[in-house]
Amino acid sequence: MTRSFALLRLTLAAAAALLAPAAARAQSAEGSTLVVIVDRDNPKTDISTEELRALFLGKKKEWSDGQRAVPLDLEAGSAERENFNANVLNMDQGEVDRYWVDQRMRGTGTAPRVAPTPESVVRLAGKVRGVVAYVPQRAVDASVKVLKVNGIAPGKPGYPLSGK
Amino acid sequence: MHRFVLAAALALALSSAASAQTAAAPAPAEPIAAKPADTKAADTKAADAKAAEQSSLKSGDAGDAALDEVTGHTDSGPQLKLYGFADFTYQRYLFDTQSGWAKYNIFENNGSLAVGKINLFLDGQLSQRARSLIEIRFSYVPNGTGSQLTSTGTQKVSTQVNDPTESNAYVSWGSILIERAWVEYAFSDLFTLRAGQFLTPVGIWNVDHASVALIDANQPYAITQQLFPRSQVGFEGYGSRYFGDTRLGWHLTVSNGRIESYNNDYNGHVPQYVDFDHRLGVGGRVFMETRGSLGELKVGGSFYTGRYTERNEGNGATGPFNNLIQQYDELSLGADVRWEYKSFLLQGEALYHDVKYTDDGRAAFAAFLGRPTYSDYTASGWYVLGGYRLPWYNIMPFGMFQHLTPNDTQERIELYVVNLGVNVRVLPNLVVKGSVGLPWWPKAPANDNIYGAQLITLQSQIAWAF
Repeated sequence: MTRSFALLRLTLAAAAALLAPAAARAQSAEGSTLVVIVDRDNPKTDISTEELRALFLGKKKEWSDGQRAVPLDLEAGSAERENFNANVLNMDQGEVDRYWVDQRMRGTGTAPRVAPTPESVVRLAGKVRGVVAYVPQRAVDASVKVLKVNGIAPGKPGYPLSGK
Repeated sequence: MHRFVLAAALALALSSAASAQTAAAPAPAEPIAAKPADTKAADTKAADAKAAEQSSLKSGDAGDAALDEVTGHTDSGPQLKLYGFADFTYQRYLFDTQSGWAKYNIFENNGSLAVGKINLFLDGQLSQRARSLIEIRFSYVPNGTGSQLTSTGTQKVSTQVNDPTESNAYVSWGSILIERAWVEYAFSDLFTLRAGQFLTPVGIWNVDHASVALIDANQPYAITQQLFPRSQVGFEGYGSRYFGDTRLGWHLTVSNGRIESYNNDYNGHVPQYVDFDHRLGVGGRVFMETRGSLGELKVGGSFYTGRYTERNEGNGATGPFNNLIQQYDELSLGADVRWEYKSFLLQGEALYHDVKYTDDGRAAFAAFLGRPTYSDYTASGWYVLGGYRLPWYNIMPFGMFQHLTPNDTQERIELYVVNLGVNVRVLPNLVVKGSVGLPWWPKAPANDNIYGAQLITLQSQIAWAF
């Protein structure tokens, strides 16, 4: 009996060891996947990467219902910002900075506001009409709406902001 | 027993994998709202939270205040941002000291260091849809600038005065130039109305404008000659709209008209705050911007038409500003293209300017210049610039080829220039540039002391935004 119990413990330990990386991978995938959030009054359910790019580069400043868009960035240097820059803006942070220096000089506008944490972004998106932002999937709550990107929901194959 | 243990382990494994899968890919079909927990109680709590949040959802200025709290602005009034750019330049002109370039002191042939532009922007976000931008340039001018070319050379202006705050000390005063001063209201992406002084929305270089954003240290001659007015005082409407991945945009301007006029015989100007005729300047621009596997392409077309009327001060009997110097009707047309593919940049502009004098304006101008008459003329110019941003230190070698016909009735001043240089974007807001320019006037007679003589221009510049 003692021997059988020891074997059971050993088997469970082996199974746990086997499963741990898979669970960690899943957790990591969730952590690195970005979701695009808007306020819940925003009628949009889907957004294209091109529209996101236009909103975050100041080329488009309002939603289809006429509401002013309020893009919110995360801090430069964060993994989320790098993911967004690479997959949506097709730029690195240096290019983004150069772009906004040039835009300011042209007089066309200034860069989006920067919120310090994903949690603060979610809080704002839940409070302010017109906000559009990107946050890690783990940070969202029921106060905001998550959009599909290019018709693909987060986590589905082909989702552009999966961070892979 | 072993089979039972393995089955339990397998069940555990499958369950963990399934829950991990769920966590990684919630994949809702419709607008996705993440749930804090999968329980009924949590759902109820979330629904309550949602209702509370929705009831307090803020827009406009109230939304801005909420944003301010988190993004670092604490002042509840309009936000004023101060920023700008400046440049420091070394330039040298190489020419035969026996040529007209030296004889008429058109250029110094010593190398000169200069703080060129110091431009300050005062950018006020008055509300979510209203914005003001004022750009002023601090300058040494008019001190040391040349006035009209005479047979003995150019007359230099001195602004030196006693410094009233210190004995036996002198200062040379400079000036402040208003580059832009406008307020605008965005009714929608399709229509924003701007009022005040603005840069004419033509092509690329005139609006890029700031030395930190420009590739070469010198503007192309077609731009400096103002075949389109550089800036105008009046109204500008503009907007754009996306159609798929393509953006179409427009600008329409109504203004007092041209402020400065160059035609190689005389540099004229009218005050920015006066319109000497009853004909408004009207201009416009349309552009298309698209992105695809071949990079980003932007093409545009512009026009401007108006009447330029220049007067000088009267003698009292006729009142001020009654003496006509020149008056012409003008039409400007322009086209531009900019193509960026990965690190490669190609841009070009072509501009055309048609000038037709009114009868009174022609007679007055001929009398002013001491000539029997003065002909209508056209001016035209273009440039093509190509550059490649290397992966090391943001170095961009570039080349530019440009052409200018300032006045088609004066063939000898038709100009071509080749510029070769390098633009190094050391930081996003710090640029170092250097270029060499070789201008030539192919239709100038060989014995022409100015345009027949060789000239080489050297320019280097440090430009920064702050």
